[in-house]
Amino acid sequence: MGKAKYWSIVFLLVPILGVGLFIAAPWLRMWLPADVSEHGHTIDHLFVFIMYLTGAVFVATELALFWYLWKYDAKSNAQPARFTHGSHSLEVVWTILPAATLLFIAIYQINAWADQKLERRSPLASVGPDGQAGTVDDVPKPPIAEVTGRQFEWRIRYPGPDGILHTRDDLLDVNDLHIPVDEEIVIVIKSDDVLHSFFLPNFRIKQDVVPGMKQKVWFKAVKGSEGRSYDLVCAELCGWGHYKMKGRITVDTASDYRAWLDNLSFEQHRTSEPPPPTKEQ
Amino acid sequence: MKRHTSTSTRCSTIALFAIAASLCGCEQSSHAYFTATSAPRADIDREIERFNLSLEAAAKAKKQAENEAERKTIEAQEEDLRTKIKGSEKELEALPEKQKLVSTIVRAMFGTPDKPIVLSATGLDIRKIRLAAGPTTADENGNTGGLYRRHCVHCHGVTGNGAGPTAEFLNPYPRDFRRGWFKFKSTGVNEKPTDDDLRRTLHQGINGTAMPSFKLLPAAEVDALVEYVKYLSIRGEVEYALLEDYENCKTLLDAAKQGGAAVEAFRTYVIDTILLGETNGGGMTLWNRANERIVEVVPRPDVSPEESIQKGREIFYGVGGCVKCHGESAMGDGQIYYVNDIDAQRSEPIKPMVNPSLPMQALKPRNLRYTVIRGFSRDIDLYRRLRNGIDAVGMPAPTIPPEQVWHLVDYVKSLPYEFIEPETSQVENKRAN
Repeated sequence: MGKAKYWSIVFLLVPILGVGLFIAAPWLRMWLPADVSEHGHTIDHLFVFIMYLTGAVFVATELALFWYLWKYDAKSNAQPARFTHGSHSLEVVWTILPAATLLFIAIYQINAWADQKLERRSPLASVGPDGQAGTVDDVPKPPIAEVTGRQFEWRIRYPGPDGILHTRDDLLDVNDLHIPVDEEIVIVIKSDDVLHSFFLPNFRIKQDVVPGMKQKVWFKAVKGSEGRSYDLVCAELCGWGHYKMKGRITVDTASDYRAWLDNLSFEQHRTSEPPPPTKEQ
Repeated sequence: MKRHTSTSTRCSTIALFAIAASLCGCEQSSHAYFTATSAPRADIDREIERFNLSLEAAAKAKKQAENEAERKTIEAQEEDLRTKIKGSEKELEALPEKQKLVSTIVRAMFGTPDKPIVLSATGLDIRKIRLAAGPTTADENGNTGGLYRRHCVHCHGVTGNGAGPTAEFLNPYPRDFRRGWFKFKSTGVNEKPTDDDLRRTLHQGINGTAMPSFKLLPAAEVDALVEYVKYLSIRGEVEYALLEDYENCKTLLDAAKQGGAAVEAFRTYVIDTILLGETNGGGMTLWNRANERIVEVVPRPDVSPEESIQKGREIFYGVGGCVKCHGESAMGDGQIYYVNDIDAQRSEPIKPMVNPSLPMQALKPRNLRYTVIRGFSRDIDLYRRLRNGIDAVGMPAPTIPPEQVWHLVDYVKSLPYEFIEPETSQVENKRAN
């Protein structure tokens, strides 16, 4: 028996360390960021489900590789290798099995996709004349703000008191998005220049922003997240300053949110400014 | 095996030396780069270009001249232009020597943008400037240094000349700090911006241009950048002032080399005349008095919004004179249209509005029908801009009483949302009738 076969243990370390790292990840603060959205758990569930599925296949494959390396070590096997033209039935099995798995995942995730991406299921302001939610005559909820990606910042436009975007009373801000807690939020996103991606890691929202397209995202911040700020980042390489195209999203209580909007409005219509503090010597 | 290792060690030592040597070389050449003043050269080039354009125009005019007297006048003009071109060419030849001397003085006064020195006469805070200067650094506690290189240098350039690597792709070009002209400020005409004005620019970015917001940077870092921008401005202004006053400077310096009272005279010249001088100098006095020159914002007149907009409209098309540049349609298509400083029709040169080291870019009046107004669009910001004009780009202040400026603010704010009656009575194909 040769010593060379012990090298196969190095390959065994791949699945062992791989699995170990995933187990340790939450303690190493390398796991998913805190989820403060209502729908986020469906995304997390899909992520974890697919991870277990692929993880199991990964471990099985790695173990099989190790076993073959160990068992068929050249020094301890005098028998020469035998070549075959393959097995038809085996090939059928390993084509159908993954295909079926993929089909299953496609069907299994279909609601998560529809809830997050399809306009028809977007949050409603009220249901239409037929009194039934989810039909075409429903009145969709107006957006709470419009966020425009620009190299390298997020420009924010609130509709102002009239609730309609792009009118005279719009309130403007940059990189600092505020939303009320426990309410369905609709945000219009667009781009001024190149491809960006509107990414709210804590709300499990990520949507590419395409120049010339007006898209909507919607989510709901759960109770308990109020008074905190989370990241709003760009998740599509958009130029040299992509890494610092970073904003902040703050969840407010309903009254704080109103006060914040009032302050924004006050700032915008300010007609006098306090004098700058005198320079201390 | 052992011999092999020792050879490779020796090789790597040599490589290390080579790298170190090349790094030293880099250091030297980059110092030369920091102090090289490319702008005056481009300025003169452009001046020659302008004279040549005038010469062409004159040649054309000569052909069309009707009588001898007219021809004579044009010929005299041509001769004058040729002398001017010769003068400029001479200036160009003398430039390297001038630049060498001036950059030596500037370096002695301000150091390099990487290793800044601050004279106490400037009143700048060296601690803040050091935080912004030099190569980017970061430590385990998240403290960052070299802020200017991290955030600004790629557009505004190492010396603040507004010609960093990305500058040429932008419209408008980034600001050239060295001239000390800033667009968005609360102070009066030809005054410097206050620290708060610069801070607001960093905080809000400049909508409608490529300048992004740095809102989420810690306040101390923003303060450091504000101080550093002022440092680069003053450094550049002194550099320009010395170049303009070169003869005087050289005489004084030559005298100072002999020692004695002349040394003190040179020092007084550099500090009092150039650095602190108000008229032809570096404008440090202007910077320091900015806080006292904030233009007062009068209260809004007590009229209904509709009435105010109507009054603003009258000013826009009447006494305000806005229509001359911003056009009948307010879309920035008026009769006056600057293509920067090249204007053969103009007898005297206007100040170069954009960076001379970059290809020319048309300087257009704003299309006011866009919902985005460049710069900050709070009411008070619009008021200040309409009250004082924008001196850095040549927008004049309308000659109207201060309280009427509010009407203009209201009208300009309403422009993007104004309903325009489509022209229905256009007469088509007149000739056919």
